[in-house]
Amino acid sequence: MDHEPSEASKGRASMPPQQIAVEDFTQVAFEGVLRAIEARNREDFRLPYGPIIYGIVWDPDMQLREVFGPQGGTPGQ
Amino acid sequence: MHDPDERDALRPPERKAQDTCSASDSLPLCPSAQPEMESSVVFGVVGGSVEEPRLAYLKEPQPVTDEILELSGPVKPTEVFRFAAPCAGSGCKHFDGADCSLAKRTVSMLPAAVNKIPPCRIRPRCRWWRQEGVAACMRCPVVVTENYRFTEEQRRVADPDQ
Repeated sequence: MDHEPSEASKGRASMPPQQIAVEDFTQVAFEGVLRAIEARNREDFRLPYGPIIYGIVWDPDMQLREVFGPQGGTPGQ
Repeated sequence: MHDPDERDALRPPERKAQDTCSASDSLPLCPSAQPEMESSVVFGVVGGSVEEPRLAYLKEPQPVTDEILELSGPVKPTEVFRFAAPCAGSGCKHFDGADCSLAKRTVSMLPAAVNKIPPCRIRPRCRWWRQEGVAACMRCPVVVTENYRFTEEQRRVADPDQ
């Protein structure tokens, strides 16, 4: 069965990048969560190797304290 | 006539002088960082559609807080938000010793996604912009830091071993 795109993702693909105010942040974030959930649930692109990380990828030899604050952190999560 | 954001974007990157500055507030920012990184800020929310994500740029980037991270609910914050944090340099597998290879591949392997320069507030400190100029900005709106929906080209660009 074909997947029906959610209302949150319909008709917005051609929109140019928008600028949002802080007061609109929560609503836009909510729509972003819906898009992310939909991306996870689409059966047609559930690939065996999971999501891609399009951004910083930690070198295993790095000194974490050079990047994280005093509280530390978990690379890649 | 260009608006202020466009003027910023069109100004030639002053890469060498800025990259060697030791002041933390002038360090280049990775525009696809993780929220746990020191000095990380949220500068955008990934909207658009599953097939064609589009980043909405915050008028004022926000420091990362627990409240903001909780807004992502059942998915990871990096699936919803874009974070910027000081470039990790050699701590990152994309850094080749001089440049961000991810930015290089993004510009060379992916098509421009928009025909207008995005209204991005981190641009003056963005490593991708300093390195690749406006070409990086034109591809930035489709970048999702952690993405379950991607093209084969995006997968190859994101792979640091390419």
